[in-house]
Amino acid sequence: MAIVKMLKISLVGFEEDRDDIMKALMKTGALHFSDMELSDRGSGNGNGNKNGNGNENGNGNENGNGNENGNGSGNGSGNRSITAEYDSKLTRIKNVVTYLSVYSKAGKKFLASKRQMDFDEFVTIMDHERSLWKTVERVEAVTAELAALRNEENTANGILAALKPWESHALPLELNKTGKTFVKTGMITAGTVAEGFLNEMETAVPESSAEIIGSDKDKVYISVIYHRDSEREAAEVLRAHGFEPFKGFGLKGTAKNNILLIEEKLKRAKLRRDELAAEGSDEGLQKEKLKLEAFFDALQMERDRQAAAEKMIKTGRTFVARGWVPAPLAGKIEKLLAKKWECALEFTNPEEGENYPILLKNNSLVEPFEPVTELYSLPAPGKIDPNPYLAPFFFIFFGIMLSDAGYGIILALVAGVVLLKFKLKGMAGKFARLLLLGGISTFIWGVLFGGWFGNVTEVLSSGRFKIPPLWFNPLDDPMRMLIWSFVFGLLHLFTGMALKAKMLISEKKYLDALFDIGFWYILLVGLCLIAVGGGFATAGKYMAVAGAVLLVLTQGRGKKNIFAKFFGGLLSLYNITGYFSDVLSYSRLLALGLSTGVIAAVINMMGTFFGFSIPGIIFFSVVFVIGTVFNLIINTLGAYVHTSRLQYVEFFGKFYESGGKPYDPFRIKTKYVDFINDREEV
Amino acid sequence: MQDWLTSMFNGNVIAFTGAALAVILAGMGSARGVGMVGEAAAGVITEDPSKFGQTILLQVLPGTQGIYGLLVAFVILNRIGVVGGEYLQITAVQGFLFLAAALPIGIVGYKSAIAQGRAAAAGIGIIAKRPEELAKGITFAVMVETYAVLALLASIIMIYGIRL
Repeated sequence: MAIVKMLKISLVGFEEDRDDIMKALMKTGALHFSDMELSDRGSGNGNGNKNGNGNENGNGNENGNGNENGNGSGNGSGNRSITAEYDSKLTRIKNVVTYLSVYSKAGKKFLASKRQMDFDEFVTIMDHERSLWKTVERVEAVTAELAALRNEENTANGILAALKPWESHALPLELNKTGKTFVKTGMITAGTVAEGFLNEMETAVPESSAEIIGSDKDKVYISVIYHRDSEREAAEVLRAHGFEPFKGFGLKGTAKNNILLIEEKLKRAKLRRDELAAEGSDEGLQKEKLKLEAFFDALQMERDRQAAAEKMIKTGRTFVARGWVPAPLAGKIEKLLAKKWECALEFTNPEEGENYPILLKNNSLVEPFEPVTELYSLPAPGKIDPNPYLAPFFFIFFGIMLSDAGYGIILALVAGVVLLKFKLKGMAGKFARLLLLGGISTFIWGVLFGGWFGNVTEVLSSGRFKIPPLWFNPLDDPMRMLIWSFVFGLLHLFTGMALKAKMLISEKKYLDALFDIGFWYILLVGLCLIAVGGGFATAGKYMAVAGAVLLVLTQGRGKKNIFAKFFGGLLSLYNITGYFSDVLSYSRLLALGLSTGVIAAVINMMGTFFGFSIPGIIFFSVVFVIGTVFNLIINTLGAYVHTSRLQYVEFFGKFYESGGKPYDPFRIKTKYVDFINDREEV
Repeated sequence: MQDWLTSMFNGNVIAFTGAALAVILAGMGSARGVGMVGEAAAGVITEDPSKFGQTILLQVLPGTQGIYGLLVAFVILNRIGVVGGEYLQITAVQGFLFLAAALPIGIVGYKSAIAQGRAAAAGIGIIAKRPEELAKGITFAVMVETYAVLALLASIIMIYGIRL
């Protein structure tokens, strides 16, 4: 429960065993390598605080082609260029696989799970390296040709569009003069002026023949032949009409001929593309694709081993590696390594304040809520894992914000089916389970508040049949719901404060826990009692005053002189506004809950627009289905986002200390395949 | 003329105006906010289409104000019996009360949706450069929404506080 204890491991072994040891370690997938810095090498006492940049490094690598891996360790730059080389190879393979998967018969599946593969078979893939690279080159040639074809087609299409207006022009495009005449072809500005063009030409240059070949929205396409002697007059008229000569792209012959030629060319290009596409869907190549995927993963593993090796110190004959292992796994690692190889292993406890990587371990009910924390930031080493405390509140708040039994059932069913159908691992799997739990909670609150797809039963039965709420309907009595929202909020906040007290106590700061949390409890509970009123109000008044006085007396204790102490204490009472706004923030429980119900009601109302005739019922079904899907998606997102916010801002703000770097063990990371019967489970 | 004036100060007309304003203003704000985020998101998608899911998450955030506006309009119409119940004829004073009650979500909804759109559009930049920090970008945008929630709360309390 909570943060897993980590042991620092330091390993010294012989260089010749390194590859084998690395492979074995990769299979166990338990060791988190830390960067060794220059300062580490000299002293050797492992001042682990300095590997703060190990964090960014790990994230960058996760994508496989972590181009931005800012590896801060000052190790030999020779190694780094090796990983860069791997990265460029990996990118090439990935591009080929992506290209081939477009033509794959299986098609691209949403949330496709990885292909299962026997590990022994997987290991042999590297033996085919040469033939696999041939395949890669073959496909790359195809993609290059495709790109060239596409380019060619674009140019051709551009020319084609420019030629189209000239299709009926009988003269060859390159003709611009004869023995006695000049020939001008080009565009003039369209509009009322263009209409007079022929006449103007006729009057200004009698020895000419002008022809309008075509026109579109802003251009009129013309061709003029005139005698060389009347060049000046003709040019005048043309200029007045904004004449723009047609360039002709250096083509010879009539436009019509050229159009035919280009169309022919396009047809050929299209044929060639189809040919290439057929090659892509070629069965043999598709089989190769599966191999390439495995190849990619194998290469990726090699790359990771290289990257890990970069974090080590090497002498001629030996290497030194440092890292972290979860304490429960330390024994197994030791057994594994000591059994096979000659090496020195040492496990030590982390020093005070040392920044060890964070691995969270929670039971299966809390685990789905871990992404909420992970997306914020992991807890700092030695602090509290908030998940067990966050989980129940997240569950309740999510349900209140959606609060519709029908939606809850749909949500839980969808999440359940996704979980059963796809074997989702890691974050995606946790999210699916989070939605499943959220759906259940939504169902419970929907029953309590009487929301079944809004008010669908009432609408369908014209008000005769209504599923009554088990508790009350917030739409009928929003004030009551508002007060309950605040009550839930106060419980949430008080839990956060209790956790802060727990942290202080575990740090042996008992007085701080009493002053900073205990006294605030007295004041806040007192204020709440006043709000409740009745007989409680008097008790509340005394409590509030007592709490306030105690706070004024203690909150300035960090200050030096007596006046500063007093004013510090007085000023701390201002924090009441902070608590007040925190509590108000929980009004979103009401707001989001209402908005789900109201939109559902609006959908139902819209659906019954045409009554209950047969077309009316069909109309209702369509509106109901589309509307429900829309409302469900929007409000599930809203519920998730706002519940998270309540955790991040209101809850975490009270106690949470974040900043841990994630535990990212050196392990087999695959993109395409999953292994069966491989790992010696640790 | 007098007929025209009386109908203008008819309570139901004023209450309808309030409901309309809640939807119009909040909806306009949301439309702008969502649009802004969409523009920013489109830029990221040209680089990396696989980030569509993440960007859409941010894009819908400024959309809630429009929903709140609809919610308030619905509650107003519900109270005067346009949707469900019996159609009531209310006085001019009651009508103005409904109009006033619609203003918080209308005005705050309009402004906050745009502000939230800005914050969310900036969050799109986070997706482009550090997709693992998306939750923080979302939190920034959601902080803005608090004020829309408070305005909605005020509107609802006011609407339910009007005696008919």
